[in-house]
Amino acid sequence: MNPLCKQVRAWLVMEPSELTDAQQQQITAHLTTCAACRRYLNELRQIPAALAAAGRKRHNQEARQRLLERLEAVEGVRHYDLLSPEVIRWLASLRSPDAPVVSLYLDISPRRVNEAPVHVRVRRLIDEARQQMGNEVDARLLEQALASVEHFFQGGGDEGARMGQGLALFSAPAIDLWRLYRLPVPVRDRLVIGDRPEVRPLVRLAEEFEPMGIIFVDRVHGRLFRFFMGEIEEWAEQRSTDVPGWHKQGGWSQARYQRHIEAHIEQHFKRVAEDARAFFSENPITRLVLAGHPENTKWFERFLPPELHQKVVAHEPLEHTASLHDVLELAKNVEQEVERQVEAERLESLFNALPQGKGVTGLGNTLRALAEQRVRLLLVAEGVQAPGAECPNCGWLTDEASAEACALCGATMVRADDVVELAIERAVQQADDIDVIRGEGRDRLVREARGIGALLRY
Amino acid sequence: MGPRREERKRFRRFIEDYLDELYAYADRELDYLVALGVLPEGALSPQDVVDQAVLEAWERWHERPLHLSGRTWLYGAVRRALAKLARQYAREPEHIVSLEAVVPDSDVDEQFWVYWEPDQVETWEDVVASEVPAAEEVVLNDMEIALLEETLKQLSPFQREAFQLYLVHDLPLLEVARLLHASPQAVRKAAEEARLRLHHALQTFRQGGAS
Repeated sequence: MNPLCKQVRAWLVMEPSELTDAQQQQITAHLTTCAACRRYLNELRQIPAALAAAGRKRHNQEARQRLLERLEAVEGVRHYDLLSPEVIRWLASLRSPDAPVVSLYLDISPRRVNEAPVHVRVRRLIDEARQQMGNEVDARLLEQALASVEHFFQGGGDEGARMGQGLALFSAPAIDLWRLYRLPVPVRDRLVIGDRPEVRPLVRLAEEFEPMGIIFVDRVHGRLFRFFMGEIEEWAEQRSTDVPGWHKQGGWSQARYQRHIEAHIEQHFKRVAEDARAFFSENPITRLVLAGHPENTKWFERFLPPELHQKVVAHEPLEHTASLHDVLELAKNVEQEVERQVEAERLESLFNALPQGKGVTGLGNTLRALAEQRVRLLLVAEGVQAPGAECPNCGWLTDEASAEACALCGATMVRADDVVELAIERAVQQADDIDVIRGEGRDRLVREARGIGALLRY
Repeated sequence: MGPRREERKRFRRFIEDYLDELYAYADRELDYLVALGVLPEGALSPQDVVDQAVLEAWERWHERPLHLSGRTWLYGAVRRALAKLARQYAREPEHIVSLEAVVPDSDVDEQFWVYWEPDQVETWEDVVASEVPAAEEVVLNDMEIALLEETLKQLSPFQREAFQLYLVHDLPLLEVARLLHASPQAVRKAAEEARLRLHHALQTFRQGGAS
C-alpha cells in the first residue's frame, strides 16, 4: 500500500471536522482515482449493511399478530377518554332512537367529594332517574344503561384516578357507548336520559376552553401537540436526518460550514412549519405556543404561515429532555396566564361599555339582553347561581322565580333552580364567546355586576 | 370512534413500521447474552423481548422524552425490556447469571442530559457519499456474515452497541449517544473501531480462504 493510500484510509475514520479543507479535497480526489481505496471504503460500508440485511429475517407473522392483539387488550395510560372539539361534535351527532342514553355530569372537586362521596351522589341521581322513568323509553334498556353506571361507581371504578374537577360519562350499552371524560372545572351534578348524549355542558366548556397548539422545536426535532380542557395529545413528529453537526472548532472554513448548517436547519424548520400548517388547519386551534430553546423558537417563528403566526401567544423555554408531562404543565400554565389576561381585558371592556349602553350588568338586565338576542360576550363569575323561571314555550328567562306567566307568549312559567346555567346555554347559541371569570376579576364582577354581565352587539 | 382508540391506532401504526427491525435487534442481543453465558439457549425469544418492550412503550407513550425520535425511543424500550427480562431470569436460583456490562441502564430516558451538551458530529458517511464513484459491488456470503456475527460478539460491549445502533440500525448519532450515555464523538469512534475490527477479521478470513 502506498503512503497516500495509508494516509487517506487513516483520514477516512476521522471526523471531517478534524481535517482541513485541503485534506478533505485530497481524500475526494484520491478516492476518484484509487480503486483500491474505493473498494476499501465500500467494504467498510458494506459490513453494517450486510449485518442489517442478515438481521432482517422474516419474523413469525403470527407472533407479530399476537403482539398487536395483546396491545389491543391492554389498557393504556389513561383510564378515561380524551375530550376534543371533534369528540364533542361526534357526541352531539349521536342519535339512539331505540336505546336510551344516560348522560351523567359530576362535580368531583375535592371540596365537593369531601362533602358527599361520588358513589353516594351517583346512587341518588340513579334512584331519582328510576323513579321518574317514563313509558316512552324501553325500561329494560334503560335499566341496563343505569346499571352500567351504577356498577362502575360501586366498584370504585373512578377512585383510582382523581384527576380533573368534573366528570362527564355517557353510557348506552345497547349501542356500545361508554365514554368517560374528565373536565378541568367542576360541573353541576346531573343525570339526563334521552335519545342522545346531553352535550350542552360540554359545549359550554368548549366555548370557554379553547384548543391550544404547542410546537416543540429544536434543530433536529419538531413535535406537534394540541391541548384542550386540561389534556394534551401529540399529533405529529418530525425529525430531520440531514441537519449536519455544529462544530466549535474554528478554522478558515468555519463560516462557510456554519452557513451550510443554517441552511439545513432552516429546511428542517420549514418542514415542521408545513406539518403544523397541515395539521392545525384540520384540527383548529385558537392559540399557539412555541416551546424549546428561545433562540430556536424565535428563529422557527419566521417560517410559520401567517394564519399560525398570528396565533402565537407565548414562547416558552423547554429543555429537550422534557417529557410530555412537562409539556402538559407548560400548556396549563400558559392557558391560565392567557386566560387571566383575557379576563382582565374583557372585564375592563364591559365596564367601559356601560356608559354607552353597549353593556349590561346584573342578572335581570343580562337575561333581557339574551331574550333580545343582543349578547355578543357573556361574562359570568364562577360559582354564581340564582333561581329563576323559564318559559317552556318560547324559552324566555327571568330572574323572578315566582313568575307565573311568560311576559312574551303568556305560557305558564316553570321554576328553574339555576337560571344562570340556562342563561349560559342561551348564550352558546347567540354570543361570540362566553367567559366564566375565575381569577382575580371574579370578585370585581360579583361586587360591581352581581356576578353576571354582557357586552352587547348593539 | 373515540380519541383513545384513535390514539391506540396511531401507536399501532407507529410500531408496525419498526417491528421487524426491533425483532432483528432483539435477536442479535439475545444471541450475545447467550454467547456470554448470561442466558441459556432458547431461554427467551425475540418475540418475548419485543412484546415486553412494546407493551411498556404503550404504557409510557405519553411520557416519552422530546429529545428522542420515536424510533430511537423504541430501541431504548427494547434495551430496557432485555434488561428486565434478563434480571427476571437471573432471579431463578438454578441459573447463575452475570449481568456485567451488557445490561442497559433501566431508566435511560429519565437521566438528565443537561450537564454536557455535545456537538453533533458529521461523518464521512455524510461527506463523501455522493462524490465518490460507486465501487465494485462487494457481496458477503453466509460464512462471512457468520464470521462478522461472531466477531461482533467479541467486541467490547460499548463498541458493539455503538456499532449496532449507529451503523447497523442507522439510528441518529446524537440519539445513540443519549441512549448509551456517552458523547457522540465517543460513540462514533467506538463504532468506527468496531467496523475496522470487523473489516480486519473479514480480510484475514478472505486471505486465509484464498491461500
